[in-house]
Amino acid sequence: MVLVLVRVSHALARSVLRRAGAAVAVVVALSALCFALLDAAPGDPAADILEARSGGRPPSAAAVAELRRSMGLDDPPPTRYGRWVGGVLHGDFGTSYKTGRPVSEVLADTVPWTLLLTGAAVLISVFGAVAVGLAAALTRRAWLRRGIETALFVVGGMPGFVVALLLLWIFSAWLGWLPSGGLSGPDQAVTLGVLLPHLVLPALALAFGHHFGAYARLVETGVGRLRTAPHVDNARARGLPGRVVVARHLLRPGLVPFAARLGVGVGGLVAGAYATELIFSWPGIGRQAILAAQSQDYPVLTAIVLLTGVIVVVANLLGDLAVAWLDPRVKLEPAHAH
Amino acid sequence: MNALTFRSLTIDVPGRRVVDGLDLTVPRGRVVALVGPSGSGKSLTARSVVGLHREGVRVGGSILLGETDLLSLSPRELRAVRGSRVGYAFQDALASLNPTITIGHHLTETLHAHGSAGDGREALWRCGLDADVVWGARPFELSGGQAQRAALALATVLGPDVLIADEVTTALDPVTQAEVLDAVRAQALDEERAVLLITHDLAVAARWADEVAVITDGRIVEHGPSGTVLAEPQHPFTRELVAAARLDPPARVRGEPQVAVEMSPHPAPSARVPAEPGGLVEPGGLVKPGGLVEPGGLGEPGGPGPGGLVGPGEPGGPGGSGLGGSGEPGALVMSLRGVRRVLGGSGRVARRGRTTVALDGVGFDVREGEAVAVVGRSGSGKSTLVGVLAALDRPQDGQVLAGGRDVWSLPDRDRRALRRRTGLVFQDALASFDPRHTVHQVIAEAGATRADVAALLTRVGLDPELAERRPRTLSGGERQRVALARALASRPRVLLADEPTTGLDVITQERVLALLDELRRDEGLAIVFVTHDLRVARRVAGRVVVLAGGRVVDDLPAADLESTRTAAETAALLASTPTLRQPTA
Repeated sequence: MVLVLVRVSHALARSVLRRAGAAVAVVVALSALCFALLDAAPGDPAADILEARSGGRPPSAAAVAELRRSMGLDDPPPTRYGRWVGGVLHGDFGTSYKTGRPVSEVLADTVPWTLLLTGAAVLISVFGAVAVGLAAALTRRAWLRRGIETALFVVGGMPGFVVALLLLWIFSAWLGWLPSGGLSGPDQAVTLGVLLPHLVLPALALAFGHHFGAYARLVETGVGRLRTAPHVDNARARGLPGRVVVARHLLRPGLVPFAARLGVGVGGLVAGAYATELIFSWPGIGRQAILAAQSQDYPVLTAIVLLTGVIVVVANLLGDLAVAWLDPRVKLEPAHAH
Repeated sequence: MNALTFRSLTIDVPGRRVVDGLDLTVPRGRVVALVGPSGSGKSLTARSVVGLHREGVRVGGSILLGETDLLSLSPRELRAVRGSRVGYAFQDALASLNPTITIGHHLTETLHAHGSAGDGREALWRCGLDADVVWGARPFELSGGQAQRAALALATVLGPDVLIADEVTTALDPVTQAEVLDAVRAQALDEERAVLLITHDLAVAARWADEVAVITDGRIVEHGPSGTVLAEPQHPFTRELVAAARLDPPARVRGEPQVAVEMSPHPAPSARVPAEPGGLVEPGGLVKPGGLVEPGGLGEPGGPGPGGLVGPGEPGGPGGSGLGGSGEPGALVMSLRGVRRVLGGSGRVARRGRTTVALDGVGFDVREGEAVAVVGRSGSGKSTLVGVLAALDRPQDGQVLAGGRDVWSLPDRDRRALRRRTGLVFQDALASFDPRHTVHQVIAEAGATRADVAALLTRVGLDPELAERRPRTLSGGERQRVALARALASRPRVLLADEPTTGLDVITQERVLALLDELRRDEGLAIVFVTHDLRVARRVAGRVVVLAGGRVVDDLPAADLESTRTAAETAALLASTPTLRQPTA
């Protein structure tokens, strides 16, 4: 028996490693794709850079050729890919065509904002979905359950940007309680008193506009199906207090489907942040990516795409780990075929 | 002193009174068995002690714990009683434990909830578990027997005055069952505990209870010392229950009233003849207006053959001797030769030694019109064998022969055709149906036309009107009959039944077994019946194959089980299996 237990924990450690290995492979593949995009993008980087430096004057062919040589742009693609990856590993993502700033500086200015926004949205999603789902699953009032279900249906059917515009219209334009955006530029100091009111609307829009209905329903069905489970009866028959029965015996096993979905959903949330940041003019990577795409600033765009991919992969990994922690029966490896 | 007393207990579910004036006393240090069929109200009675009822259930009368009426307690007071003064062990131990936390966590949270400084490990040791091993394990890492012991330890960790054991051993093999119930009984005596043993198995009650109370339709119809109630049952219902629980092979019930068939609400005609209005037609042309089949006509060895070729009651019909057809060898239907199957993955994983040899050189034959019971403890390889016999799982070594041909050297198409000609019946019939399907759809899915469905339902002793119902609205016995009808729809040559009567009460079980017996005899069907219950094996099969550790340790006629020398594993199964059968001269 001891042997079995040791084996289980070994299996867990091994499968975590395997998952992490798979995640690295995904990121490598993604980086190759990003580099290919960068490489295939129209225009000549050297010409773009010279044009940006000289304030829009078309550069001479000799200058362009000189810069191309010094940038190593004439090397074969595998060499350039190796150099690019080496740079990325050292935090060097190249230079913005548009501003001439190092891309890593652009990222340093924008990434924290996006992490703040998505982090807040994830928290709202998790706590909101658990609270709403639990209420719907445990209430004996039919009207409350039906009300919640209807509300979730309506919210779940709305695209994220509609939720964002609706929130803007109600709380900013109509009631005037919260700012519509326009958080100070990345260079200015921001106090908590300024930050929080600006954070509320985009975070709510991001949370409620992206799968919130599905999350709450997953909590509701996950917990609801356990309400009459034998182990819950047993917990009651042993005289455990109600909150322990709910937290440990209903919620923990009941959250498994939700946690499994959340890991995937966070990726969607990061993607949703692009539109949300634009609508609320939030100075994150999403808005930066759209600006970079408009101005054909490929190094910035590629770096952000790569970073977004990494965030999605990491979120998936964390979701899998959360599921394995919640339900130790879940082995993080595909079941063996018979 | 009486620890637990029910006085005029009534339990109402919406629209129905399930328990109607139940009086029962469980004294300290005694085991009182409450025995009854499914739906008799015994489980609701047990659950009402700890107030575990679903919404809309109303409980009246009184339930006294010592001098306290549990029904008058506030929720807070009741919570203090639950777990500390009344322990409750559930039917499915594994499901009654939270899969996400360890056994130790279960015990400590219970102690903590009652502010007790007790020792959870001590409770595990008392129930025969190695606490050092089990403490950190999660429920799904335990075997069935370990899980039930752990659940028992959990129910008794605070040394309750009363233990309610609700069908605690239904899913266990006889050896484990004996160990668990021995522990329950020993604790009852040592710790002056009152035990209310809820069971549908009279033989279990007879062996482990001091008193037996027989409940049916929410009333106790007979109550007394176990020996008296079972040896000289007074009430007609008790007599029926005792007769069904005796599980005599058909040859031994000759001349006794065919209780099981008489009591069946939907008697089974013995051939595919649709029901006539007002009665059922026997192949011999015999019409029973009451819808009841003549006792002599069914369940009797050598009963009517297909098409009434053989007169009712005349011995020597097709299918032979009535002892599961062991006397007259028919054509070979299936054979296993040196079958070895290793579980636990392949390739990389297999090399790491994380494999189990589930079947190790298994070989036996199944002949037409023969019922073979495969018996063994949990983990003996029974379920793996079902997969191999059904040509679903490929053994790593050895041959599976069907009609003389090696199943795994056939082209895929032929193997699929072969699978269609194998009827499968599982323990949990409901789980084997699509929940959205009606009974008709369930059976039609196997390739039956509308007329076939009606005939099949009649064949398995169900009213064809049931076709439009959904399986979950049927009783356990009815569901198992629907599963049988579906298995018969593809006109199988062999029927594989995996514990089909485990979990059914004895009367329902006896009816299903009688039906299987009849199908074997009348249709020449070969039956492989997998069970952990030797009594059931002996009742239904002519030959018993005993599996232990993936090997066949015994393969012998069922009638010889007690008379010949058997392997140690078989002897252990026999010794642990409680029985109500009278010793035969």
